Amino acid sequence: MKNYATDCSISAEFGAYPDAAVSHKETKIPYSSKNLDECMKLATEAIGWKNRSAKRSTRHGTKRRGIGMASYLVFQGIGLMPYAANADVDINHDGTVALRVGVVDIGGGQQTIFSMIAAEELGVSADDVTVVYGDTQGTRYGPSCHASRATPELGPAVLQAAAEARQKLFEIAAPLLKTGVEELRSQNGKIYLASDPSKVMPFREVCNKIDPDHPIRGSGSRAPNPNAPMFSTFGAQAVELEVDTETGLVDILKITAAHDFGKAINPKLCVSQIYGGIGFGIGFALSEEGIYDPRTGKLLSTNLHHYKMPTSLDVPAIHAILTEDEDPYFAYSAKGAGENTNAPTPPAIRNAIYDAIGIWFNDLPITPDKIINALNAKKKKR
Amino acid sequence: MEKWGNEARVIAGGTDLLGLMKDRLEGPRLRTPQVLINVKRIAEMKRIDPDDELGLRIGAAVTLNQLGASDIIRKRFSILSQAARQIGTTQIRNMGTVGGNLCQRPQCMYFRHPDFLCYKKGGRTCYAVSGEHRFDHSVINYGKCVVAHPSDLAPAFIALKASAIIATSNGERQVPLQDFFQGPNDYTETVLKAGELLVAVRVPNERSKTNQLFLKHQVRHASDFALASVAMVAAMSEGIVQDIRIVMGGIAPFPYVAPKTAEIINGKSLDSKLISRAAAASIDGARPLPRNGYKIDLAKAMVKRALESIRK
Repeated sequence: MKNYATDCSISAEFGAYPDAAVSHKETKIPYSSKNLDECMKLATEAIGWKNRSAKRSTRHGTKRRGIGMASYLVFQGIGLMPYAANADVDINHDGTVALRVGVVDIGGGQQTIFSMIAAEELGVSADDVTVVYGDTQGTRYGPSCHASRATPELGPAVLQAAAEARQKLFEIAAPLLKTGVEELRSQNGKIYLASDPSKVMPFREVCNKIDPDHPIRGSGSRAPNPNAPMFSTFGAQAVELEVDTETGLVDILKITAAHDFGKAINPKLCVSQIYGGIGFGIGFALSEEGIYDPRTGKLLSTNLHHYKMPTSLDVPAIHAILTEDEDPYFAYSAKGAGENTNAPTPPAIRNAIYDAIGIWFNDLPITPDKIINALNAKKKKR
Repeated sequence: MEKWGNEARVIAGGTDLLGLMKDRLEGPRLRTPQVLINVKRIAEMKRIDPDDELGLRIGAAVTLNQLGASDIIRKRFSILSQAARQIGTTQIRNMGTVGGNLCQRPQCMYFRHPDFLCYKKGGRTCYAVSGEHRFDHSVINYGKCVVAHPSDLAPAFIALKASAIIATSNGERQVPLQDFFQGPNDYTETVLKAGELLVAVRVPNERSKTNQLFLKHQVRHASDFALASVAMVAAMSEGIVQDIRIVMGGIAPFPYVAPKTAEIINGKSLDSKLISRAAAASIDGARPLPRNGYKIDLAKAMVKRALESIRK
């Protein structure tokens, strides 16, 4: 747990993927925010890391207990030039807001998260914001929903678009409240004076002054990452499991997961992403396998019986922890939470299996045949 | 069925048949049916009827969940309930039937792949011998085809000395379930001929109370076929094993009855030495394929566990 870098160390000129280019000059770049220490501390505390050796030595018949941990970092903002993430916010005459984004919500929660970001910035309820997506005519280019990238890349664009639209609305509101634009604030569906909150107008009433044929539009975009700092999410997961030394069956008893996604815009969604990522990781570690015929190279596991995804009985109780932190480079400090959540699961399971039976497996998935064969080979060596 | 002959297949739950049809599995010995004959509406085939003399008659269209939840099964033939509840998923058990589980086709990835004309489909080669055979294949008694029988119910039924009731055009015939399954060199897994239908399974009444246990091991915790399974029915009297039957699934082309194990144990009281000896003898003579030797260790461990459960 002591051997991890505090800065991002890359051996390349930035601009390409950090691991793709070769250069002899090593540069150290700090992270924009980093909570890895905290994640490792919380995940291991929650699993009972201190009792590890006691648990290991308690024998339950043919079963052996083990606890393992693994951590990860996943770079954020992977788009390269000339790519940009774009968002537009329209405020209509009737007080409704349309947020236009190029990403399609395929279950990642973008509809919820981006409407929350826009609503917060505009000072309205998230219910008043309709997210328009999946329509190339009404939206501009944006990242797709993968690699935990939608929130970190599009979030700032949404924030900027909402801020610009609000500014334009304030220009309408200022003469009505007999003040300057810079004096105005917007919150809870009301526009008011910072110096005198009693001087107030409902958001909707101000919107009524908007030309019905020409809604206010605010636009935002986020360019690819700057050279510094480095952007990344972090996390650690710990697994407690039992290996049956006769049958090779692995029973995962508990998984704890502590993640640094920056600020969790919607904590429930973040926790759900952790559950999903862990399910994904359990299959990767223990059962999912692309099996090919050695002679023809044809894929044989072409159905969901032979390609064994975990069932609800394979997924244990999961204790998810969010370590929230500030990060000025993202919209309300929100970094991404998605695919990154599955990164530490397979290594943590593999480490726990080592802790239980003293064998390192370097070939996933770790199916019962591999465990029985490895235990037999270990017995022979003795 | 007489009218359509080989063109027709019987359908009940369809959990296996529809998969075969959707995968478009074809060969000289495997044809996609042109006609499906629905037996789900035959009331007689959906009932579990006890009889003091003949024993239980379980209709072939009884669903796996019906079997697993039946009171009489749980009280007197709990091994069937244990086995049924470990099959597939709740959805599959709601659709899948007893007859379908006994008559299901092999799970070999080559058999299930439309691009491989394997022996079972009428081809000349078994691709699994030198290919992928870690999970679904035999370690003993295999022949031209090396797949293992996938059924979980079959070993449990055979351990209970059940028989298959087969309807033919000349009435019914009864075949001990142990003889219902064919060997690895046949193109089908059961003795059913064209025009014949498995209508029910007859389970004889036990003369005394027996210990019944079904163990199954699989890669994931549900929705999977057995790497190996062990069905054990044992009549005990004052710590002495009177009559034990151990049948294993997932390791041979048909449910594998372990004769030596019963021989070693019957009439004796179990101790750890005897259990080890009986477990070691359970698949005596096994010749595993290059990558499924672990199944021998697995099966022996499971037999050992089954025997330990009845040790006083």
